[in-house]
Amino acid sequence: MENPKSFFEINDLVVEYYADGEVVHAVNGVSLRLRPGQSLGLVGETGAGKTTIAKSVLRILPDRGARICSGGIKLNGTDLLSLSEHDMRKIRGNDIAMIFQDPMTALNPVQRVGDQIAEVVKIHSECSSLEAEEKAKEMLEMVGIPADRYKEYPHQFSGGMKQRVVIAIALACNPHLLLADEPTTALDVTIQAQVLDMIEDLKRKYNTAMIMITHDLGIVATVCDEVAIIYAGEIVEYGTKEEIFEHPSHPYTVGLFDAIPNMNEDEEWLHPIEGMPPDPTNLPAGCAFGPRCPRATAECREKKIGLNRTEDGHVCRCIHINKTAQGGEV
Amino acid sequence: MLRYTIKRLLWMIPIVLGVSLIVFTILYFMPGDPVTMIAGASATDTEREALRASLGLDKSYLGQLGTFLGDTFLHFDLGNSYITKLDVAAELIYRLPRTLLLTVMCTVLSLVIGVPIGITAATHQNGFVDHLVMFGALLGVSIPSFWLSLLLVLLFSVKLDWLPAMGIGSIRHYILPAIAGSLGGIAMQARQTRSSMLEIIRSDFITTARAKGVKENMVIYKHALRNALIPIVTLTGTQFGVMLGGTMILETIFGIPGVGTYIITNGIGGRDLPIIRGGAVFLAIAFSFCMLLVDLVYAAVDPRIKAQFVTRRAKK
Repeated sequence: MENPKSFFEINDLVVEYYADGEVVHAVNGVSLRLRPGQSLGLVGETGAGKTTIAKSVLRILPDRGARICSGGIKLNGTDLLSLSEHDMRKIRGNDIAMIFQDPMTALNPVQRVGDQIAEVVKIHSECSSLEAEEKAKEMLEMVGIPADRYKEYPHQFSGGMKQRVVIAIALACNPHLLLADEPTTALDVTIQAQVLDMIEDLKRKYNTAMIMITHDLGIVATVCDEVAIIYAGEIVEYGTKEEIFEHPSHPYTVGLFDAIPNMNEDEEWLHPIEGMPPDPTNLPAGCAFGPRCPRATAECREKKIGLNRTEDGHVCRCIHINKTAQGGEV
Repeated sequence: MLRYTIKRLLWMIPIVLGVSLIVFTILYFMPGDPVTMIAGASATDTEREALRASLGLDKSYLGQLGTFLGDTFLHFDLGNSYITKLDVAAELIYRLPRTLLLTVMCTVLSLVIGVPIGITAATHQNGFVDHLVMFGALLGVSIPSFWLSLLLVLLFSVKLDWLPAMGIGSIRHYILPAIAGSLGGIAMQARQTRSSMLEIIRSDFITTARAKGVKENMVIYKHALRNALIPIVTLTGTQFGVMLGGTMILETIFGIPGVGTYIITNGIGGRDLPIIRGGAVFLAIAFSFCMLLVDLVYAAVDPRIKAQFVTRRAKK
C-alpha cells in the first residue's frame, strides 16, 4: 500500500532490548505511513512496544541495552536512522516532537517552565533569548496558561497544567509530526477532555500529523483518522478508524472492543481477553496472539502470519478472516 | 529567605549551648586531675590546692559550669590555656586562617576533580571508564592521608625537591597537604556524583530534554547536574565542617600550626580543658554555619526546597 502522499513512514522496524543476557523483542517489523495533518492511533496494551516505536522515531531509546536492529524511518524522504547525531538533533523538537506520558516527571523540576519552552525555540531557530522568551510566552497563552506564570517552576503547577506546558514545548517549533505518548493517561477525566481538545485545535491550526499512542479506544474514536492495533511488537490490524471500529477483524481487536463494558445493558461481569501477553523474550513461534486466541488452529502455530487484506480493504494479521477468499499478503 | 536565615542563626544558640554543656560535663567527670598534670608530680599539696583555687577548679560542678557558660556566652571569653596561659579564643582565631585555607583548597579540589570524574563514570555506566573510576575511588577512600602525605613528601620534596616538605611560608607549602587531604574527598565526591547522576539520567525530564534536541553535554551539565547536586552539596558541606576541625594529621605532618593541632595536641594531649572546651564550642559554631550554608545552597539549587522554607515560615 504505497501511498505517494505520505511524508512520514516507518518500514519494517525491529527494536530489541538486552537485559541480563536475554533479548527482549520489543518491536518486530512495524510499518506505518502518515500524510501531513493525519492522525494515527497506535493502540495496544502495556508493553506492546508503542512507546518504543515513538522513541525509535526520535532515536531517544536508552543508549545502553536498546538497539534498532533493522528497518527504516523516513521523514520527507530522509532516512532518520542513518542521520548523524548532530543532524538528528535538528529534527528532535523541531520537525518531530513528542508529548510524554507522565507530566509529573516530564518537566525539569529546577528550571522555570517558561525557560523550558524557550529552550526548544532557541535551539531550533536563530533568535535571541528575548525573542525565544516572547515565543515561549505566546505558547503558554496558547495552551491556556497566563504568560505571567513564565517564571514559575513545575512544582507550582497542577498535573493538567504541566501537561499543557509539555504540549507547549512539543508544539513550540511547529513540528510536522507530533508523537503523543498516552498524553492523558496520568490526568483525570475532565482534564483529559480539555487536553485532547487542545491538542486537536493546535494540530488543526498547524496541520500537524500525529501518532497518538494510547490504550484507550475512546481517545482513538475522538482524535484519530487511522488506527494501528499493536500486539507483542507487531501491528495486528491497521486501517481507517471507521474500518476498524465497524469491522474489527483480528481476534485481539475484537477482544479489545468486547472488553469495553456496554452501558446499555445490565452487565454483571467485564469481558477481559483471557490470558496474558506473551513474554517478549520468548515469543511464540507462529501467531503471537495464538495462545490467547479463541480461533487458533494448528496452522496458526506453524509460521509467522502476514498481514492479510480484509473485505473492506484494511489489513489484519490473521488467517481466519475471509475464510473463503484469502487476501494477498501486503 | 532572609527570615529563614535569621531563624536558623538563632537556632544555633541552643545548639552551641547544648554542645558546651555536654562537652563540659564529659570533661568534668573524666578521670584524671588537670591540676596534677599542670603542677607536676613534685608539687606539694599546698601548691596544688593553690593552683586548683586559682583555676577555679575547687568549685562545685554547677559552679564551674556556671562560670564556663557565663564566660563563653556572656563575655565571649573561652578562657586561657592552663599551660601557656594564652587566650584560647585569640589563639583559635590566630590559627584559623591556615586551617581554613587548607580546608578550602581540599574542598575545591574534591569538587573540581571529583564531580567531573563522577559524571564521566555515570555517563559511561558499566563501561571501562566507569570501572576504572570506581576502582580508583575505592582506592582513594581507602588510602590513609598520613601515608599518602609521607609518600608525597618523599617524592616531591625529598627526591624531586619541587615543593617544601613542611612549614607555612607560602602558598606552595599548602600544595602537598591539599593533595594529600583531598584524595579521599575526591573519591567520595566521585562516588556520590556518579550515583546521584545515574538516578537523574534515567528521569523522564532528561528524555524530554533529549527529545527537544538539546545537545548531549548540555543535557548532562545543564539539565541533569543541577538536579543531582543536592547530595553533592550535602557531602561538600559535611566534608568542609569535618576538615575544619580534623586536619590534625595533615597539620602535624606538614608542620602547619592550625586549629586541629591546637585542639588535639595542645588541648587533648595536654589535658588543657579550656582549649578542649573552646575548641568544641568553635567547632559547633563552625559546623552550624556550614550546615546553614548547605541549606541555603539547597534553596538556591532547587526551587522546591526553597518553597518548603517559605511555607514553613508561613505556617509559623
